[in-house]
Amino acid sequence: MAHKKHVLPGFGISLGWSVTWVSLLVILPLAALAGKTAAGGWHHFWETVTDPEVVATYRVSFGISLIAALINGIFGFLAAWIFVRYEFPGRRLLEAATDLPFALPTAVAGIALTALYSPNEWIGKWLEPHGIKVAFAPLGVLIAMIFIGFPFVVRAVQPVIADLSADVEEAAACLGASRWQTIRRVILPPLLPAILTGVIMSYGRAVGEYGSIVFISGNIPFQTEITPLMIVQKLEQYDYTGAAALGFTMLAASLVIVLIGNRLQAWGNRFRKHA
Amino acid sequence: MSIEIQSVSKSFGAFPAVSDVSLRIETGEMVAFLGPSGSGKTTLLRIIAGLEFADAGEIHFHGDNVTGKSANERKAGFVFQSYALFNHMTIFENIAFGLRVAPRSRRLSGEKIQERVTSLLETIQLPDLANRFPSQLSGGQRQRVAFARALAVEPRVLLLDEPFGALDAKVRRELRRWLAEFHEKTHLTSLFVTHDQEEAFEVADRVVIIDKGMIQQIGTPEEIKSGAGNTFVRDFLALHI
Repeated sequence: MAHKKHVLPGFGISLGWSVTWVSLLVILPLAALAGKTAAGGWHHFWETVTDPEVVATYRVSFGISLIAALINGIFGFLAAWIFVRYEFPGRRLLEAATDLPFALPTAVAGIALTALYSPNEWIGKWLEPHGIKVAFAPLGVLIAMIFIGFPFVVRAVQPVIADLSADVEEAAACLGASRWQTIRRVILPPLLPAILTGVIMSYGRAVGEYGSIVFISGNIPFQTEITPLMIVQKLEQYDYTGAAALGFTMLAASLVIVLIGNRLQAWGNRFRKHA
Repeated sequence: MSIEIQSVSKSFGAFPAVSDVSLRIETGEMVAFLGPSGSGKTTLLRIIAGLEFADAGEIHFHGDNVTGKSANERKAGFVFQSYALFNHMTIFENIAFGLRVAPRSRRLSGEKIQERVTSLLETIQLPDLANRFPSQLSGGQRQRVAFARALAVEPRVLLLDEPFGALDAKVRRELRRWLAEFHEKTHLTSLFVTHDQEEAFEVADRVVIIDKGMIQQIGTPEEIKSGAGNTFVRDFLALHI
């Protein structure tokens, strides 16, 4: 094979390194998971993943996560917009606070949320008389998922908003567009890929979340149990192939989410390809 | 349509960008604002478009006081140095934008929009590029699309902010000639900002020389070239010849 010249040196060694790295850290563990699952046999696999209690957890882990991610998409965009476009006292503090869910141990978040929303606590005691139950209810799971996913959207969208030039908005105004038409037709479409990235990351994070949710959800079977909790329970009962089977199911679902996400992004970016 | 600028002032913080400028532009005129960078000529143009608001003074479009009106109410055709095209829309949709956002009562039908955009693509001599995206076009082509987009809504005035500033010398001369011909045909009241005196003298009926936010001289290209201006005007012109 002819030796191809590259502008940047070291292509061979960096490619070799990257492939080894990804194989060892990502592909090998996933293969091991698949292997462990297969060891339990098809029948055991099917029985585990279709157990009614387990199936109910999919609804929470994948369904409520999706709602949380979509809510984060809207409010994360608004927060990013405000951080970039407006100067107000406390902006830097608020921005720093946005990143907290990244750094905070999730168990801390769980305890903090439970401390706020339990029926006798600060917010919980105001909601309880109105029949709104947050802690130990699906709503609590939703709030925990919103909490941990929020910074993903803000951080994905913020730099893209900062890059928008003001002149296209001015051009739209001179052509008679109202502020709302400008936002919908001129500002939002170029931001859509970044918003989607944020929503998908936030979704992925919420699907895999364990620490904060087990505190606030109360782990009520068929209501607020999440799939990762099922895995932990199986492990506690030394049912390793059962845990692997659930792990494999989540892996497959995550893969589908990532693929859908990539397709959506390619669609959102379609006008960039021609550059 | 005439434009009347009455004692307009604007400062950014402590910096006076425009100081007490008054000027009347007659219907059908092509006027150039000529001056060095930072002279306030772009700010003045933006105040006329409603993209900036004056601290004092008034702007009248054909006797109609538009001082308090926003850019989307004034609807001056505005062409930016940076083109400011909508990169996520095709050339067709860029040009059609102003027609699509018009209030429902005045909005053209789909066919009429198609017709208008097609004829504008002819005017700017790019009839085959309707379905391309801005990123696939050269700078000169993009600026022509920006012209067409501004003209689509049939503006009463055309405001051009260094329209050829980002283009190379050859394309610049071509577009300049094209603009002069276009103005010859339509007599749309036009104002353009430039720091290039050759451009100003070739295209404009009248040239307004601006420095430090004030008008230094107003006149036809011949009057200004005759050298009757103040020290600044003589220095500024000599520097560039």
